[in-house]
Amino acid sequence: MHNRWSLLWAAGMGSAWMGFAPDASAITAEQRFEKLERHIQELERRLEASETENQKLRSKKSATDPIASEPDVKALHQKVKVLERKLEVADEVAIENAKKTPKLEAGSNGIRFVSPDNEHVVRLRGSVQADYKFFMDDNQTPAGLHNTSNLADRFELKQARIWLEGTLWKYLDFKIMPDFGNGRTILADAWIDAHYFPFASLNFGKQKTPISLERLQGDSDGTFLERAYPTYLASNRDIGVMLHGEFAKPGYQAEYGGPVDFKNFLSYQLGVFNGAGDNGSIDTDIDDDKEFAGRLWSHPFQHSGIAALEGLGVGIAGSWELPKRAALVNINSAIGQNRILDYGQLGTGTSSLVADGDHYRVYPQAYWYYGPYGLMGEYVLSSQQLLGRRNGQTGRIQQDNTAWQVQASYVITGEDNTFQSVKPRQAFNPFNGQWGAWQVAARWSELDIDDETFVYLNPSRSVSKATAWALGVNWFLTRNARLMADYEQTYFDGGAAGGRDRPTEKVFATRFQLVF
Amino acid sequence: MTSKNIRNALAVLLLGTALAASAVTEAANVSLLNVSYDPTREFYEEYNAAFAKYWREKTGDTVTVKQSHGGGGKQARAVIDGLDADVVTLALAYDVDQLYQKAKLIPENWQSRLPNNSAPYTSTMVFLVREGNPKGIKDWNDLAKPGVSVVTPNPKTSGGARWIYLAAWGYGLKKQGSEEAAKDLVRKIYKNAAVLDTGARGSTVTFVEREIGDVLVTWENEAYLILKEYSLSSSTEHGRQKFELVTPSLSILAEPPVTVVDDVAKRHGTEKLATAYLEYLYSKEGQDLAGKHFYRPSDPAVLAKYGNQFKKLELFKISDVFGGWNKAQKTHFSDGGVFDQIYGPGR
Repeated sequence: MHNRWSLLWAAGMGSAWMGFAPDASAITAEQRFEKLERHIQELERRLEASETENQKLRSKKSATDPIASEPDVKALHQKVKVLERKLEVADEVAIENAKKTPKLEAGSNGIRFVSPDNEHVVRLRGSVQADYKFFMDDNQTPAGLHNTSNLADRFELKQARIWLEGTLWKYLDFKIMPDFGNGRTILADAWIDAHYFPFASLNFGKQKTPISLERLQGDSDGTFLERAYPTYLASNRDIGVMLHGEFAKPGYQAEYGGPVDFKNFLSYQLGVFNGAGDNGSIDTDIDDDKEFAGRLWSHPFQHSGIAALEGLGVGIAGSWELPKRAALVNINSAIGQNRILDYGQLGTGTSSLVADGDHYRVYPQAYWYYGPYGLMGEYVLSSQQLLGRRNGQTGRIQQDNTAWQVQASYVITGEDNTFQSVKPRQAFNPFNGQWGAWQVAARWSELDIDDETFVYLNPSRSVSKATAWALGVNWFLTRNARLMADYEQTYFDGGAAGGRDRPTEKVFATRFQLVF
Repeated sequence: MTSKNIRNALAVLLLGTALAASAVTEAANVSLLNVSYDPTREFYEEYNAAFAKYWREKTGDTVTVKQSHGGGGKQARAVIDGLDADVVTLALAYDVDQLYQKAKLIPENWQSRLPNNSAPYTSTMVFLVREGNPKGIKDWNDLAKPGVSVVTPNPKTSGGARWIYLAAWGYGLKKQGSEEAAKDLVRKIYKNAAVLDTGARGSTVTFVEREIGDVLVTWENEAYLILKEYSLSSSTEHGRQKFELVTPSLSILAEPPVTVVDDVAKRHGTEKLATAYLEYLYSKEGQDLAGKHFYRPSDPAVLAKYGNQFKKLELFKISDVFGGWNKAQKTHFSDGGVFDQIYGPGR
């Protein structure tokens, strides 16, 4: 019967509410809990002392006065019971409040608000990339250099972002990310991803186009300060809608990996966008024609048991659009970020040069990560029609630009090397002999601009080819903070007066990066 | 009649039979969720079985009623926050009305849809004391005496607790003649409150199981259930009661209301069933079960049958003394209201 009452009561449980302010009640309940606990301990001590005293007294007192202290003992018992019961009630209330109280977490993943049912999460995140670039052997004559951008050694705020991302109603992810770096304010990302079905989700808004592998890598996860040349022949970000999905190997369950997935056995993206052009990022469109982009990616040896190949990823991406008199976007050198292809510097007699007509891209791409080792590479053919006007005559050329890169990296301290950067086992703390994680890397990258381009473009102002090798060192102090140092040497074909080759660009660059 | 006519008549007869047969649906399994207040568990356990039997005989359908119990205020909030209750059977009209005020889950005129302001039975608040009534508890003012330990739930979470508070206040107002005197009485009672549980059933556990306090202030039906439960226990020893019920001279008429949660029932397609479920509370069998579980049936004939089990006492209505639930809630139980003033920190 006693159990029945307890069970019935326990089955219903008490109410969660102490009243007005759930947060205040939760705090109050915890404080009261501690206070009551201390009271109980004190009363128990007094009770024990009292009982000991009583025992002594009983042995001395006569039989006619045996129970003089019993009321005190009973009263103490009652007090202890009351306190215990109050603790139980406070516990119930705290548990119920916890079910209703959103969780606030602050840590290496930013500041997070999570609803009690975990279906709603809002994260406040941010990143800062502070760079310094130092150019060597750049004291050439202006005639020899012919750079439209100076090679001034400079500090740069490459990235200064603060953004909101999260999940609402379990299946709706979102991201809103402005960027205040480089002295301007832009809206880099603003999208909503409805992922009710892992095999078919829809992403709406401004997002990375699913083309270049290195572009799809997190903006703070790259091995080098700047991406390599293949990235610049794909669009950066565009506005549109993208269908995407992921599949697990048979026998396993797919895991939601965001709009561009790198977690599952097989994933695809198919999108329709405004069409931003090579290296472009636009917020509107000037014509009806849209760009279609798609990508297929696989980790073919995932869950194969072959450990060395589990981290192999291969895929192919492509795009097609039909721009109409669309402006062309210039291209800079990789780490130096100096202008090397300048569509504004037209050849003699040329008054305009725009993209007009079929434009397609093909991007085979792959990476491999195993333990501390990492390899990544991609190749691109970007073929588009350009419409130029020279000496009053309009002409059309076919521009087939190509680029490729291969990079290798190795984590000296042994942590896992991944596409999503390196997480140090221990944060840097010299007092404890902890040094964070260290990674070294090397890269080779080439960009080949179709010679046809120079029918309309000034060859003294734009290079026809750039070949770069780079070495890099990354010091991951914590999961959030990284120091980077790269050296890149880029050789050019053309790009200087009289058909000469632009002098080799030698740049040493450093970055301090903080991401949360 | 020609053979052709006979054939035609047979064809019509066969067609009619086929149509009639097709109109007969298979028996369905349906379910309801009844979100109720704390001490009604035993009543609805028996009532649900009775209703299921009735419904099966009437329609052929098998109905399963799931129950949720807890402090009335908490239960109302749970439904507003998304708990899919087909019906609510709560302790007081204010809590039910919040389903309209906060979430428009029910129509504004919900209370007029069933007889007696949608209260199929009534109850009141009484005292349960220990064997022999060692502290001599007779009325509300005895609860305020120094040295008396009172067990009652928290008005912030429990519907029953609000009835108790208002009963004490009404007594203070009537017997001592002023709001200040009533407030003083209630303040002293809650000062003597050993533990404020979150619901009526929690208070029962505190008093009965944990043996805390000198007097439990609770629903009349809860008090009778405790007496009935413990009269069967071996701990009574030679037929003695471990507890005694004390009826105060004056108490409040508690009218726990019921309603279909229209928004949920429409989505579930259970409107008809949910309405029938609540209407059955007013049937002879429903009223009889209420009386059996120590609720005061609204049917006079059934009340007369169970009248002897209830002690006579003067009962006042909340509308008579407090102007209704909205006023009472705002004055006494809202944030910063009178209860917070007399029971808040530093009181």
